[in-house]
Amino acid sequence: MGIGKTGSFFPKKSGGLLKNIWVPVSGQIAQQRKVETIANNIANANTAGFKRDEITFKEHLTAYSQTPDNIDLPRKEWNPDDFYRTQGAENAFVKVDGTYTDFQQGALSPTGNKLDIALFGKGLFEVLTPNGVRYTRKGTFGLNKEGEIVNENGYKLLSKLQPGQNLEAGTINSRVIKVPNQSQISISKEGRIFSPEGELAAISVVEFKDHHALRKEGSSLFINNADDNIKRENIATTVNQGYVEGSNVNAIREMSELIKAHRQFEAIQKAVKTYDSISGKIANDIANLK
Amino acid sequence: MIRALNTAATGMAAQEQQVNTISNNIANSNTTGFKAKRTEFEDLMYETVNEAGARSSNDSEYTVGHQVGSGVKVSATRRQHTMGSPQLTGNTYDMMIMGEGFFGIQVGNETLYTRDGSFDVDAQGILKTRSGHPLIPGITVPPNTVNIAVAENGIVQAFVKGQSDPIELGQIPVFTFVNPTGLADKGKNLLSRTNASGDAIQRIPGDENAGYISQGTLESSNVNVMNSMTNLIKAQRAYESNSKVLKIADEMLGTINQIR
Repeated sequence: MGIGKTGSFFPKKSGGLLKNIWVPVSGQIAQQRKVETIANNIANANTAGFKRDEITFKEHLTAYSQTPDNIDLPRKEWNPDDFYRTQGAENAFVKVDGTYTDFQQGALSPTGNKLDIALFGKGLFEVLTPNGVRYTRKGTFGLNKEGEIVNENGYKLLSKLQPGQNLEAGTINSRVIKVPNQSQISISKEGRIFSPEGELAAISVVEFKDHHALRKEGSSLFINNADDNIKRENIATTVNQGYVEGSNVNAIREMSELIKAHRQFEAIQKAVKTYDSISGKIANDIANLK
Repeated sequence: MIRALNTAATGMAAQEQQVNTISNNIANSNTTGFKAKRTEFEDLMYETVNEAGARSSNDSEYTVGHQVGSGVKVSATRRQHTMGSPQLTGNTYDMMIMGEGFFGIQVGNETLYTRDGSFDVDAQGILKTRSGHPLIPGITVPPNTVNIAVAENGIVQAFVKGQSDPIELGQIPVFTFVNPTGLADKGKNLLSRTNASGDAIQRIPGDENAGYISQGTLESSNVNVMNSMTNLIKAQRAYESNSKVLKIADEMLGTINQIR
């Protein structure tokens, strides 16, 4: 097909003109990812303490994947590829930049259960799971048969880190909160648990310097990888006994985002079809001398 | 795309469960001693496509990761042990526990627990539930009894014809649990002990956290129909939203199939 290296009509790289079909296709894949994220948000529209995820895209240009020497105009025999590269458009893919969790406050609704505890503010509870300490906003707790405050998976709510304690496994078990029975406890806005006999413990609520560094694990739990990200002092979050925090998913917003993603997907589809008909012309019509 | 289909399906299944729970609550809104249940959800596993903190170039790193969730599941149906409002019936054998605790019922070899205190006597004078299971500790009302008095601490006294002094028949205990939410429903207003609830603690009514007994009163169901209706609306709308996602995911798959 080529007439030689110089002046070849088609770009040399594999796929010829059709390789650019990957540009709109990358857009479709990105929209697909967006729909998946929205689907998960909507599925969790009634999950207590759920925080919605949002997805961001970025433009991925040749300039990002190649060094400047490569995209300078060549001082040699040229071919059309070199010009594509100068614009950086050859690889102008859409890439998913990341998903981040939107920590906006969910609505608090009263339940009357003594151990439904909702947080108002940016903080999270510390719970002890078999895999270590995790963080959660889901405050629907109860007691196990030993009288420890646990959530429905049996993960134990932890009390505040006392001076001299550290995050090592040894001291963690002493931070599990034990109460005599649930009918007689009351919890203050700062998270201190009282029984008629006096103060029992203080619930640990921690905030994070960078909330986006938290990773979701499922089961309404978050993982934090860096210990120095945790903020234990000057917590502005209040603890509300007898309330449950609803999911912060807004159905209207999710639905309109869903429609947007759907239409975007269809529009890109048109571009893919155009590429298809162009390559059809190349394959069938150009050589047709009639 | 298949993932969005599955995710929406988990959402629909979870909301369906919630409607099941709510309908059982509403059906039992007039059942003596019934405790409402609440469906609780949690999100499923996340696929981490891009780790936050991974390197994006020589001297920078991604500050946010990329995680895709896979839906929702029902994590629990939690029984809410708030007290139902007392209803005065005036019946001698109607009893209610004012506060925490349960009556013990002997069913075969097993002890089951209930908040439903509508008892009666059988032909032999034994105090039993409507379905014919004796109340612990086993109280037999003598013949010729004119009246029965149940004290707040559970002591049952019988006034027999021709005697001025009442006869003491026994003391009804109240059983409490560390975690009453962990009890398993057996139907017929009965609950049974599980590993999660811990063992029953037998108490004298009114002691510690145990409630006292009130004769001639029944505990009505603690179902709040207004709340149930609101939750029903929420569940139905969430179900609809999920089905919309399912539909759009399906349409997008259709669009892909139309490429050629």
